[in-house]
Amino acid sequence: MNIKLLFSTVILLLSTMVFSQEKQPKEKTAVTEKKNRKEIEEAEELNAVSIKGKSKKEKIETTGFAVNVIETKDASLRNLTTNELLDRSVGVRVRQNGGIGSNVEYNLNGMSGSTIGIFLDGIEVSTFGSSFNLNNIPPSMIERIEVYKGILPSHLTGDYVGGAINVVLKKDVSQNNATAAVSYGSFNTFQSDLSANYRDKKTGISFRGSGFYTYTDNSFETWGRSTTYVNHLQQIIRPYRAKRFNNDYKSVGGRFEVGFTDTKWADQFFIGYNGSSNYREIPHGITMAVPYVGRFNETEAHALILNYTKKDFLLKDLALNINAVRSERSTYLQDTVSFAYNWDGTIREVVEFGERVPLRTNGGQQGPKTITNTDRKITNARSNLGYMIANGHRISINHKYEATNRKDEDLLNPASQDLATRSLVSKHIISMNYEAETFNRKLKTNFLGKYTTNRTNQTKSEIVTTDGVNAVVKRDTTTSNYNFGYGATASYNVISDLFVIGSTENSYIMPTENQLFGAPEINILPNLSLEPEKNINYNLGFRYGAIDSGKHKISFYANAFWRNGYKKITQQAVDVSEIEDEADADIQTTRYVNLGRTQARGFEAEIIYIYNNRLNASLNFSKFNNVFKQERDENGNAHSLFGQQVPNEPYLTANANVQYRFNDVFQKKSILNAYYTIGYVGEYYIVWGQPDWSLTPSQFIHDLGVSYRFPSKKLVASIDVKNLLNAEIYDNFQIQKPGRGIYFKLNYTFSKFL
Amino acid sequence: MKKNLFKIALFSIATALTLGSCSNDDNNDSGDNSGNDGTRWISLTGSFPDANGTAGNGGTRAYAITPENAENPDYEVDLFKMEGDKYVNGFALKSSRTARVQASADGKFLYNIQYTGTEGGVFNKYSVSGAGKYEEVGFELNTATILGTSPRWVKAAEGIGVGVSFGEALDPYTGTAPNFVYRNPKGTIKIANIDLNNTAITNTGSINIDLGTELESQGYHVWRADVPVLNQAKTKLFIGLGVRRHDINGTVTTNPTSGAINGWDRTDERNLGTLTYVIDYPNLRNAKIISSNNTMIDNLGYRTMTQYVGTDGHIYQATATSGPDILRIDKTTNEYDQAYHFNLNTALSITGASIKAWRYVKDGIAVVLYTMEDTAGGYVALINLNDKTAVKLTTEIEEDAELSTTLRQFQNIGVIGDNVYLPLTPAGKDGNIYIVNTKTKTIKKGAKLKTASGSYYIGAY
Repeated sequence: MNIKLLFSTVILLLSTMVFSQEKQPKEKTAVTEKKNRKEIEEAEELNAVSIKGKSKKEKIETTGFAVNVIETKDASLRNLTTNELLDRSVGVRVRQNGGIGSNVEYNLNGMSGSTIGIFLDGIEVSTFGSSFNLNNIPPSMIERIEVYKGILPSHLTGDYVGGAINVVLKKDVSQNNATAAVSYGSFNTFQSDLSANYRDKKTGISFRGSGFYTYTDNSFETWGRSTTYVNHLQQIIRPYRAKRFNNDYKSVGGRFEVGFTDTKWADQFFIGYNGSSNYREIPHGITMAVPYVGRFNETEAHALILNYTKKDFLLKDLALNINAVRSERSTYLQDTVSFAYNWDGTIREVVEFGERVPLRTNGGQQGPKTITNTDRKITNARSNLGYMIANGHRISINHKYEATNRKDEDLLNPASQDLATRSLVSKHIISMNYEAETFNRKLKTNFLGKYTTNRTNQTKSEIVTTDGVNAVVKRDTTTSNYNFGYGATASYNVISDLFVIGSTENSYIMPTENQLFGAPEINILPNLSLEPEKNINYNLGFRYGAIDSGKHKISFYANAFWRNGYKKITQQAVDVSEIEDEADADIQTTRYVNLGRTQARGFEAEIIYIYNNRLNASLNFSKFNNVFKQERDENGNAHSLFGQQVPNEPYLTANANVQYRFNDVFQKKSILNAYYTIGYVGEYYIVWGQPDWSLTPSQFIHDLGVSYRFPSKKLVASIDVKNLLNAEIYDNFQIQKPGRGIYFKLNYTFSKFL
Repeated sequence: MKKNLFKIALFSIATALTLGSCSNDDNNDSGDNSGNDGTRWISLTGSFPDANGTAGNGGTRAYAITPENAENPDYEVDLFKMEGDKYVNGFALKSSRTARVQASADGKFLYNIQYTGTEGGVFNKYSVSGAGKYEEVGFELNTATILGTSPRWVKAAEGIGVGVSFGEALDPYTGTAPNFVYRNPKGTIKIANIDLNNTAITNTGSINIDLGTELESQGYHVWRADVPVLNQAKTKLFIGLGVRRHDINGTVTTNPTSGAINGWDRTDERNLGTLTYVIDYPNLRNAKIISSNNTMIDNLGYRTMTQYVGTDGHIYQATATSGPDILRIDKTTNEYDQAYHFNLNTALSITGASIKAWRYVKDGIAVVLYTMEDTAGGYVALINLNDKTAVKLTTEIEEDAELSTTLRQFQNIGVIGDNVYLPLTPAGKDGNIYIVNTKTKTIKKGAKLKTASGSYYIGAY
């Protein structure tokens, strides 16, 4: 309790600091304008110098975290999505349900789902709406992507034990320029993006804006076992070759920011708007067994953003960084077509009461007729205050605040929400860390502590009858809980270019409301005795390189990880004998329980080889075992599945990338880059015991690309062929992904336009 | 130094790639290939845990043995034996959750509709040729659009499968808060006739539920349809109904988390006998409800068939899987024979029996698997429906508490001639096939059944 009080005070202090500071610096700006400009010039020089030292990528990667940084510079000129870029990097598996716009799940060395945070500049990307996601944010808007496995740094704290993907958007406005790109390719896929930066050198007033538009029919062919034709006797004919006809995707989004950069009072101060909307047809359910027609969702999101960074804030060596977002987002789902379809686009038939008639569904494609809308109002803010106590010793405090207000509407039956609980869920995370560079700066250590509090304010409605008169009575309840986590990282520079890197973490994840209180209508029973999940993670690895011997450069990276989950929260079918109401007993009845232990262990590695700055080749792979760790079975005997690989998850992935640069092809001063990528995913089974029918076979995906930069350096044209061999590929069991596709793209840079 | 390190790294990556991509050798079951040599194969099925370790919830495996094997106490079936990560004995029926298996009377074919999972609602037919030799034959059928992805279906007569599904219930209220008005949810039962020989859905139909104004205004409503059976003449289909009652003086119920309305208050007060829908076959018209005066417990199978056509042509219907009664539907009137009532409690002079699975053998003789309210374990009885008597047949594992779980999930009792085959294994413990000779009224222990954690045998066919 004392601790809680202490932290509440800290939060209060911090927030007063944050808000009281906005005015102060402004007053000083005018006076120090001149001096400031000089400082910028100095800073720019300094930057130029530091480039020769270590790149941002190298810096982050040798801090001690299990992290790798993906640079997007090359990819932005090609026909690649951010997800494709991620999928090629070490230890990341992007499991997608189909073409552009389809559902995506990220798997970081065996950890997936809600254990992984997806951030945009340190703020959960979901805050910006589901229409602004890694499917459609073009790589050209992105500076770099940081992929953390396991332990997270203080600028990405949250309830995540599996790691995080942090997309860092471009910030630099030092050069006034604009870029535009258009791409067109297979399956009627059109993608375009635009971006522009402007900075007035005199005043520091800056603008940056970017936008994108994507449209695709996703009309790819599928021909695997999962594509079927069902005749009027409901006999399944497979495999069947069909072209998708119900998978349109349209997305538009933009981000506009105005502010000041490199002024006396702010290194960056921006206020902006981030908006997006999309339309997505949902072509099938969890399998391709039946095509859906007319099931779609529309999402829209409007977010106001604020960003402030200052290195020497008030004091020298005191750095402040604030990033705050307030958003309103909505998700609309409609499913009202009541005929069943075949994959050839025709309505299925059935014999009904002896006559052959069109087959009707239960009302919609996935179930009963549905029209729903969900509105969310989200506030998400992160502030970080860092102070260099002494040379090589830095302490920082980080505060994260998140509040969500959600409203669900059933548009077909509005009355069903008459008694809906209004709830405001808010979360504060305070974290502190201490970074030190010791032993002649060879040893970097980082100790982190994290305190999380969750608070739920609920207003529940209830019908109360007094003297035969009904009334809705509202009751307010507040529940809260908190937990501690801690971790440490270390990086030791053994010899020149060789870093040994290790980290560990001990953290908790709280059960969600659904897990605690259940959802009777989908047969989930409540379990109020659920305890938080505990996770202890270890990572140990090294980075070596780049070793430079004349024209050859080579670097290595390897990391082993060991993750232990205790009291893991898992959905479990309820033993029939425990169900009070006998009639409810059904195989589908489940509840969330704290299931003994889980364990994942494995390793990942990467080699990068560069020859003469022309050939750039890399090879990476990741192998992990998610192991079943329940030691005793229901009779107290040793569990016969103990120690086995948990089914239904890919556990071996590898990627090879080769890039070669040709100079002066066709024209002098032109540059032609050729790219070749092979992706490999090892086979896996979806149930225990590996029956043949449950096999998801191993996958080889070959992609080829060429980009050509014209001598003017303003125009880049590129061609990409994805899935070159037209292979039958699957990320998820029996959901076939697109075959061969060819895409063309033109990028144009308008430099120094003002 | 640099060169060495490079070599080591390269080697380790190459090794890992090679090892990781090695495929397992196929483990073919040994044995001859004589599929149709006239052997009466007895298929044993067993279920294993899901990915979270939940017992019996992950899928179903099958293994076929001869009646001689079944009777031999020295013979052992190890259906869940693993080598590495792979099951090596038997055959995995397609289903990521426990399969709903039926079989032809001669044991030559297994029929299954996958219950939920990636292909929930897909019907598969397998030919049986001994040991793990099962071969998919005929067409796969897509039943999901008609019956949903977790269909309730059984073999309603030899060669004929019938699937039923309750759905399209109305919201049990009208109006808005706070003055919601009760509305009977009614609903629809969809029916699909499955030709098991030619693997086709030859006719479908639906019943708009109508319990009559009187019952409906008292809050009675249907929540499930199950265990369809055909009469001897194959002209009438009998569908078991799950009935519940809303408290018409109550109000709406809500989800405890979201507050969204999810139903109407219920009451356990019931003054209504077992209900069964009778419908013409195969045209699926002329739906009519019949009601028993003898008991108020519903006739539903959790995973097993609960009603059979007797040698005498009448239909015998157990109030499984929670009651002790067996009711009779008359073959000439197609109505409940209100004068007939078999009660297992009375016949065995016990209390609190509930029939978990049963099988009519012939001439009024049947075998019942039951549990008791206050006593742990799972029990076997041989009953005579004609003189309403019963004999308890003792097994050495009957008092094992885990056996009640197994019996709850029990799917099928095997019958060949006068012999009844009961694979009995408490969850996660070894057991045996028990063979009941209905002529001599004896039970004996047959082949050993080995299990594994969270796995047990659920049927003989």
